[in-house]
Amino acid sequence: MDGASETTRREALKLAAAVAAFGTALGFHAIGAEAQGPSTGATQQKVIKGERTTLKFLKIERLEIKLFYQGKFSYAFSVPSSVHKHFRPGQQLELKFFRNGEFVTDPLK
Amino acid sequence: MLPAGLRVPVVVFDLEWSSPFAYTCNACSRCCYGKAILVGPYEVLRLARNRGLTTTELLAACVEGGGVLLRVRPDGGCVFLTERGCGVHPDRPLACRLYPLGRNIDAQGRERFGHLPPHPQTAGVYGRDGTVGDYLSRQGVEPYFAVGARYAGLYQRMVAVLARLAEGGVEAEAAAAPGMGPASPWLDVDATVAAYCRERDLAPPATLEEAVDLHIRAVDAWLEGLATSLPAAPPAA
Repeated sequence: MDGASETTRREALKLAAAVAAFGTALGFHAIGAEAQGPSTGATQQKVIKGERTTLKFLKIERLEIKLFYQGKFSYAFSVPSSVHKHFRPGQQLELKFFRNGEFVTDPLK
Repeated sequence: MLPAGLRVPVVVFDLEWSSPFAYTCNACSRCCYGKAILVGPYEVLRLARNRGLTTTELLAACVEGGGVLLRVRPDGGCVFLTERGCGVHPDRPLACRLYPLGRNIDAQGRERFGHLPPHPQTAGVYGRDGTVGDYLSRQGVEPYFAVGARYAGLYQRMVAVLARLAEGGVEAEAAAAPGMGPASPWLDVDATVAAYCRERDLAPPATLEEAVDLHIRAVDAWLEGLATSLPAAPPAA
């Protein structure tokens, strides 16, 4: 890799970090992708176990995680395209839950 | 499938500005425990000025999760909670001003509000003798919404440049999640603005509004530099 492309990649990493940080700070993390708007509110610190599921598909344009309560839609979490575009057959989608910056293995404690 | 027994807080965003709503806070402070309060650059700036700190100092002392999540004490209380209630009340974050409501803007730009689950022993009193708009106005949310919209625009411009980098074959990934998000030095308003003013021989900002203006200009200047280093986009077919 030459010097110019190394610089570009380093700047791209900085930009990706900035996108993640600003997106989270502004509430875009909760409702997800850049195509949607932010969500703001004092969220309860509830956690559940991480689950590991293998998904197989050739190409996706959009990936959403939706929560329903008693059959009624409550929340939608869109996975940013910068993440889901890397999905390939056989890759895994892992949901992890954190509290105070630490991975939680037992949600009921 | 979610584990059995999981309790996910349910928020249905079905309220508008004109929807009937009233809430009287009786300062029991029970809502100041066990919450994840996300803060953006403007909120960090206001909190820092309230405490007589720079944003660099406040981020180090009171914020975690890569610079976006307020710290909590070992008992789960907010880092700013005192024996007499909120220690930064005039400059409390937007999430605290909205409470017990949450706010969502969907892909079409529609703004909705929803009830957050109250603490079981809350001393707050709910009512319907007002509107969501009345309540929010009393909470002083206007500058937070206005500055938030400006930062949302900046975020969209960041994403656009990142997309162009990806189209050019440069790939970069970063996770966005409170508690594990990577820190970005651009979140630090005072440090970013100081460097920007130093490089351009500008006077330092005298007000919060000037600091926000310069912060957004500094990040935009970086983005423009990145964008101009990329090959020109091919003409549309």
